[in-house]
Amino acid sequence: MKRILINIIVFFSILFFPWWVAVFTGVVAVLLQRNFYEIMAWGVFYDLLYGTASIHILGFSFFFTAGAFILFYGAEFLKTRTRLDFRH
Amino acid sequence: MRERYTRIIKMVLTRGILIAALLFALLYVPGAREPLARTGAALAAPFWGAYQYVRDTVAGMTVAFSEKKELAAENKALRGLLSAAHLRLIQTNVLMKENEELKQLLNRHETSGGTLGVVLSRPQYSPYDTFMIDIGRQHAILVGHTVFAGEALVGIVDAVYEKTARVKLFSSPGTETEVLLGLESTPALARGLGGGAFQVKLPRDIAIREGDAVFHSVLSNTLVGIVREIKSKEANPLQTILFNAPLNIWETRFVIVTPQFLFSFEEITSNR
Repeated sequence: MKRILINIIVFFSILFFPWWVAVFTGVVAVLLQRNFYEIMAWGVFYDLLYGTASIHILGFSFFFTAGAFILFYGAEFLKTRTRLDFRH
Repeated sequence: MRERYTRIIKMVLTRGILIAALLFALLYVPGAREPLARTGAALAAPFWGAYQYVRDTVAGMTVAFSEKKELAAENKALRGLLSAAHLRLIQTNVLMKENEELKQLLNRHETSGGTLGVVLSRPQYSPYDTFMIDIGRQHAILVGHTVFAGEALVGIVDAVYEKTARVKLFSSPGTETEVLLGLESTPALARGLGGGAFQVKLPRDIAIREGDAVFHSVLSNTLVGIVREIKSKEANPLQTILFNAPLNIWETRFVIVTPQFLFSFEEITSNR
């Protein structure tokens, strides 16, 4: 139930709030929820919704997707090394 | 310990390969991005529409609670503005008619007509400087059509779906647009800084003033921005000119999409 609610909050933050709010919500979601794989799907969703192929660096245009992957694996790594493991 | 490290390495490799495969598919497999983007837009559009409806309804309801006196004063002020605007409209209509006749005499015709679209998501929602509008393929919108907000040219249609379309602003970071500045219509290349802001670098001896209009080089007489600030240093032979779109992009609610193309089909698709 909690996981579903977190996903709904992330979804609405992507649709109705500035991008930095969506990023903050994603970070909090990854910290609060263990193995929050959905954040990577939301990163892809964000880039597909708002991104355009003409904005790129060396042909790569999925910046939020890449950020979501880094956030997820970085957070999971940090959780195993620190007390930031809410075990939910 | 050794087994643990082996397990970790296998897990990292497996996940890394999956991630790389997904990104490769999205970036390089032709036709992979479009259906996924279309699905995302179809998923988001009803929520944006509902939000607009609720916002308009609430705004309508709160008006009823305003003080009667305030409303009367506002009404009077608006009537005064309306009279002045009406006079200016008459003058403008006369000038526009004369302009049209002169252009026809010179055998240059302007493309007319456009489709009104409602902005569903504002540019500040994403750092890509794009927004979604509620008209799409059903309304004969095509990739490359030009988009106006008020009298200003703000961008082009970047992707079209069945009932929605994505507009890419000329002020998108890194985007370059050919413009004409000032009274002398000095040609220049404007670089987008995001959020309706642009930057142009010109030689210092070219006279540009704050408040000068900036027009698009292809669609002449189409306003793109107003010069806001000019930065120049003695040691630098170039001056940096900053200009903004003439309206607040982040508050834009309606746009007009016109069936005009600034770029050829090859130029648009070469960026995909």
